[in-house]
Amino acid sequence: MDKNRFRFLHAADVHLDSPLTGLDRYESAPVETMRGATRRAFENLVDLAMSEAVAFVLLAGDLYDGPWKDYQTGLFFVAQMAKLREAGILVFIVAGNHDAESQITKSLRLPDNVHLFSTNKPETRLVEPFGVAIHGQGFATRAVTDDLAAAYPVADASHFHIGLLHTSLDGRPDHAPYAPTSTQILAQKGYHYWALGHVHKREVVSKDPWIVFPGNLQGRRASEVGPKGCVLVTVEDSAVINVEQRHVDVMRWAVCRVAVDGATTTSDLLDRVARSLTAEADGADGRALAVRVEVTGPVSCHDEIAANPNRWTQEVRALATGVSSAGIWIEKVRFSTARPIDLAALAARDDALGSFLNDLVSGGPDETTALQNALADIRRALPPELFYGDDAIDPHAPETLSLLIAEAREMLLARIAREGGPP
Amino acid sequence: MKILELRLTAFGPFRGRNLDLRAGNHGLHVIFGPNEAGKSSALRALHALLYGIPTQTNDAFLHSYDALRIGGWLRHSDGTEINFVRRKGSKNTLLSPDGTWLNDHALDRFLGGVGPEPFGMFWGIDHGRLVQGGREILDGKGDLGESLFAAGSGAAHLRALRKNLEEEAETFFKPAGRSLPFNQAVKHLKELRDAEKKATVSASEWMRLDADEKEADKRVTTLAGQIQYLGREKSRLERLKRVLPLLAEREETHRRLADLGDVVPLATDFPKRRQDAETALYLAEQHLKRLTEALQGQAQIVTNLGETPPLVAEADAVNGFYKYLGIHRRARIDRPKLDLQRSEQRTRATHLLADLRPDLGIDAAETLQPFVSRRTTIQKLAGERAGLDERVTSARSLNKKAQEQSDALAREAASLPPQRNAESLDAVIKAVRRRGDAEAEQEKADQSIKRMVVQRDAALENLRLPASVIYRLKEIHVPTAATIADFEQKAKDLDQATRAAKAEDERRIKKTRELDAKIETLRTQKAVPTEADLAEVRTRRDRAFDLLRDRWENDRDVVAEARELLGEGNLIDRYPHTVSEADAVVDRLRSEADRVAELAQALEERQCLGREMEDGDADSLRRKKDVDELNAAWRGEWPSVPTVPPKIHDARAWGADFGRLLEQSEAIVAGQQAQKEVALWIEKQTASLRNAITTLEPVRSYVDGLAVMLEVADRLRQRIEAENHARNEHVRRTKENVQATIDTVGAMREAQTEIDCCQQKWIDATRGLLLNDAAPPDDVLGAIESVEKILKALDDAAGLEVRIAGIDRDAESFRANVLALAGRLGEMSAIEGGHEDSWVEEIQRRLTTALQEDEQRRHILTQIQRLQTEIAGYEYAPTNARITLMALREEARCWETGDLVVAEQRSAELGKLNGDLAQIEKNLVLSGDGASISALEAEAASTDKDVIGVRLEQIGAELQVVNGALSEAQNARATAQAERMRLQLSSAASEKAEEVQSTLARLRDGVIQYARLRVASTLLSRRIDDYRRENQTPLLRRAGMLFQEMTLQRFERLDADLDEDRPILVGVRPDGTRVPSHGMSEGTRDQLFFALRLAAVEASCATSESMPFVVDDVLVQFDDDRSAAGLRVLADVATRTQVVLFTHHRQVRTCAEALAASGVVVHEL
Repeated sequence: MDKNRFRFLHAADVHLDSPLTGLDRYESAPVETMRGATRRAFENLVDLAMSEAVAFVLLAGDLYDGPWKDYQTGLFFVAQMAKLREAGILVFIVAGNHDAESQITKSLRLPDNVHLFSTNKPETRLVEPFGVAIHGQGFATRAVTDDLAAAYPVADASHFHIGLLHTSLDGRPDHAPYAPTSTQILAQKGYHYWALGHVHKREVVSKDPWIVFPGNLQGRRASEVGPKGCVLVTVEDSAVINVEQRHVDVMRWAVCRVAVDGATTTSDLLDRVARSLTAEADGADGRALAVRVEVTGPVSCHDEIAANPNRWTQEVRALATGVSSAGIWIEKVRFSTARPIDLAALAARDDALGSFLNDLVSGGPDETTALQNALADIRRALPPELFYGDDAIDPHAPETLSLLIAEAREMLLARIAREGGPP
Repeated sequence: MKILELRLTAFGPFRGRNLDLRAGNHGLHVIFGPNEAGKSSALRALHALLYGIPTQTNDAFLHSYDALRIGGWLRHSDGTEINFVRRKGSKNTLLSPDGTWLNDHALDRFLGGVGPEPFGMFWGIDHGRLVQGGREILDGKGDLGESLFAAGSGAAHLRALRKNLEEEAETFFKPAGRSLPFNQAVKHLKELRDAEKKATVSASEWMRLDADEKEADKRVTTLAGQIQYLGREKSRLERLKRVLPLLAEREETHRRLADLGDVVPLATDFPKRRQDAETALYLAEQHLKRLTEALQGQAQIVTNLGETPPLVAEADAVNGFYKYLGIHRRARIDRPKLDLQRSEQRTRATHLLADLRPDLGIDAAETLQPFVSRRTTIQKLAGERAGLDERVTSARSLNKKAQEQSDALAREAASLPPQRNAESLDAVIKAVRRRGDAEAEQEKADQSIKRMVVQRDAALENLRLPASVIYRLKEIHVPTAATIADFEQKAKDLDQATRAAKAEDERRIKKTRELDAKIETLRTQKAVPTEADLAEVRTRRDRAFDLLRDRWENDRDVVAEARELLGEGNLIDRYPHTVSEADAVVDRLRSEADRVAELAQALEERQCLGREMEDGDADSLRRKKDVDELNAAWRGEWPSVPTVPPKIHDARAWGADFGRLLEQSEAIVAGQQAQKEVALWIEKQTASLRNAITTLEPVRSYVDGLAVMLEVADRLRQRIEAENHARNEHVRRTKENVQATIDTVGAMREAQTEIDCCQQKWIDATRGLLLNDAAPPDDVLGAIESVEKILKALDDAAGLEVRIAGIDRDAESFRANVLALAGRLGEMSAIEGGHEDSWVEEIQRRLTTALQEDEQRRHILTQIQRLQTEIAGYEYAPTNARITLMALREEARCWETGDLVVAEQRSAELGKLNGDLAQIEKNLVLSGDGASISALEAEAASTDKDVIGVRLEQIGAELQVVNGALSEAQNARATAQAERMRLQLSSAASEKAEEVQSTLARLRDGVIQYARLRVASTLLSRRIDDYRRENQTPLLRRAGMLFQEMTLQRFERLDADLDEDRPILVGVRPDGTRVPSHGMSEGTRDQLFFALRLAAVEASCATSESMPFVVDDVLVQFDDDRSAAGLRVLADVATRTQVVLFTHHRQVRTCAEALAASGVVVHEL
């Protein structure tokens, strides 16, 4: 190996054994294809490290999923690290907010090719054959609000310097503001490459110096769409000459927005959905897909859909079965179609018809109470998990109620209007 | 909006058909299309004109999709018009009549925001929806809210819709449900959580497992070292133990080899080769000797047997005679038996013929043969004769019976009564019967009238009317329902106002009490200073200052004034007190400003309340006056009632009761009149019956009453009927008897004639059989049987004679043939004495002997030939064996064959010792674990041989113990490693976590779907109630008017009642009867729904842009009068908006044409 030229992998947010959420198992869903996705993505990462003969692998936090207690996850990780040890590849890890919370991090015995950076203060490890100095500090607690980077040592000219850090940087949407810092502070350290973690979306924040979020290794919910994986960095003569994204995910998430404007029949509408799904599958590099379908636009078959959205969700699921050989799992179907006519104009009529339309949504506070009463039984019976998390639902919550009212109104209009079709 | 023209340019079956819908202000246009004329296409065209031609249409069978065109001319209520053409397509479907494109939204303004579905639902109705609407009213028990909402929205299926929403929701969740998808998912979730927990491996569990593995590994290493050392020592000792005997044995073998000296070593197969040569020589010599002796013996036997005799050549002929011998013997035995049978048959025939015809000899018996062939004819004639005799006997017997019957009938005729005619009596009875049981009816009616009188009197008392009023009830006038309703509304309004005022009074009183209490509290807490208090202390302070200044400047004596103002004490001393007192009030005012303000506000409110209460009192007085005025006006509405009028809210009930009283009174009068008519009728019919009876027989006693008289008449009529019946029966039987007598005499004559004819045939057939021609039939038949037997016996005897002659001929021929054979063979000695049987047997025996000897001779000759060949092949064998032995002697260097054995033994001894030595040395190498023999000898020399066994036993025991321990340690280590490996590969917990997420997702989707349905159902219910509250009054009023018209005034209006606190719809009849929906006929309910729909449509026209109301054949189930009424109602609606009625019923068209004067226009397709 040329001492002046080497490569390394940079990954983060592995969240081993964290389950995929929001996927209801239905008959033709590709359940087996997506089982254990985070583990298999990690295996792909390890295989990639070996096949590319990298010098070392950097993991920038959130190896595990916070409260997950199963030690088997840790053992799996150790087994993978052992494979890298056989191949003579070093691994450097900083603990992220999830790892700080994890029982596994505290008790796992790691092979000697793996180094877990201290959580008390910044630490530096040298990889002498390549003249590399890696600086890092992990999260001691779940919520670190100090700027950890600020305390990292300043680079000297003798080595190629890498900073390993789990951070939200100067804030990213949907991510807790942990270990906040700024590109200026990072730049001031004089490092060649900042290997960051925490933000699940891939982002090259800066190229001078290189500041990179590789994104998470495997998408786990509908908000984590697109290809996922790690970054392969090539260094020559102490300079980064190439940073390329490598996809190691085993399945992908996609939001398939289908504009069905002007579709006259439901089969026309389904055709358009099928075409969109096919296009999505074609772009998935042969991987299985978990898709959220959002159907929008004014269509003359709106009433047919709105009268029974569940039925059409099943139709879309059936449709997805034959689209891709790798399999498509329809996570959710949202029908946001509209009538081609302007309901507002009809509602403006000062007659029975107009007041009928207006009345459908004209409830006052007592109406909220009435609706809450109607939903009280099921709310009492709901398991507590449904009240928390990204997809939490509380039938009494004002935003839930207003969504339900809007959907129920469409459903009522559609079902009532079934009588009024052309003769 | 109004449609001025509908042009069916190219659509469905139409080509260039235009409908001009301009007539009338809005106009009721009846479009009549008989079946197949395209009424449905026209209806679809109207819809397509406004909203576009659907993608899939059935109206493109005559014209292609591209060619479909509908033209239209619309007028907005503001007077603007649009003339356009609609083509099929998804966009650019509107054209102007000259073919230029119009904007796709050009019609929007004319449609007033009404889309296709609302138009179809609200601005249209067909028969199906009419019926469904009517049925929904029934299913909902006339629920007012639902009925109004259905009419107001045009949705006739509300109940089903609500039910479906609830049912759909309940397929997922029910509060008391157990096995619905919701419960299953929750249960599954819990199971998965448990499974996940179970599959999770904690860090401490893992640590324990890891420590166990390490400990086991260490122990395995230690024990393996121990085993290695012990193994080495054991191997050494065991090796010595193995090689010591071998070393001794080796030494001994070396000594024996030295003793043996020089020996010729022979090949290992040498002894075998010597033995083989010696054996071969001996066997060859013995075998040659045995063959030569056998050859000589066989030659001697052939010589003794001699030549073959000639008998052998004739063997087939001899065998043939021998086989025939059996047949020959059998024939000789049978012949005497056959001869005896022949003579028996002939004797039997002779005897039978002698019995039958002694006059004939046996040879003449053949002359009787013809009677046998005539047997069937004779039997038939005998049968016929017996039948004829039977017929004569039977006819005689019947003739006799008829004579006796004739005598009996003559006696019966004398005893019959004279004939009577009951026709007039019958007529009277029928007349009375037609009327039914008039007396019972009279009685029942009487009871009914009495009951009605009692009820009427009770009603009078109930209505507080004097009894005398009964004859002038019709003069009493009850106010009309409208007037009552008007008064009710006023009374209700007043009542509500009074109640509201009372509630308001109560509120004010309560409020007053609260305010008083508050003021009291504020005042008593600590007297709050008022502005007046401040003014007071300030005045006192200023006054004191004035006094002080006066005293100071003018030196005036102000002691008395000061005392009056400030009380006892010095002015100068007291003045600062007044200052501080004023300051204190100011301070308190400032510090307690809030309390001050609160008190001031409370006082203000208290004052306001006082004013309000005064106003309330004035209102109360005004209302009382209004009540009095209303009551006075009410009384004024009842001028003809001779008593105190009912209260307003009781007036409906009073009116209804009075109506019933009126009906009852009229019914009583009518009933009494009817009773009189019935009595007269009974009297008249009784007299008629009596007259009819008297003309037929003298009346034995007088009876009263129509029923009794009717019974007497019935009995008489039955008697006369019975007499007439008996007489008719007698005449019929007499006629039958005369006919029977005539028939029997005829039958007798006919039978006798046939008997004579039969007798002649009999004589012709039997003549010549017996000596007596007149023999009876049985004798004749017996004789024929005898003839048959005679002829058969004679036949049998002749056959036996032929067989006997054949046997004699065959025996003679056999004997001659045997003699000839014996001569030919020269065996004449064989036929000496005896008969041919024994000759044949002897020749056969001699043949057998000759054949056996011939066979033996041929066999021996073959044997001799074989022996000669074998001797020739063996002649050189002994010489060959001797040559081999000579060669062997040379090999062993011996001169005599006998020395060969000794040489072999010495050679074998040498080979054995050399072999033993090699084996011992090989064993030494093997047992010595690869060490050289010299090294082994050295090791053996250095070890004490006597302790080896003891030491080996010790090591064995030690090894057993250490090996057991090692095995245990290895097992423990393997178990720990396997568990670690399993855990490293397992992802059981994470798989369960994935399933948990899946189940949560399912549950979430289900809950949202459920909630959506529940919200929809709740919203719908609430909107129905809201709509009812807001629209009930105007809609009911107008719908009631339309309903009155449609039901031909059988109902007067519509109203609302309460049924278990639920407002329901009722129809009110002109007499005030209130009929709930389930009390109406199906057709009436349909009309009720129609009236409500029309009222809603009218209401819509009043406030927004109107649309044409399209009616599709809703009048089909109405009778003619109601159809006409329906059309009148639609014509009325057509004064507010255009109405287009499609029908294919000629009757509806006829009705519409009759209403042309009312502005109804009929179009024909």
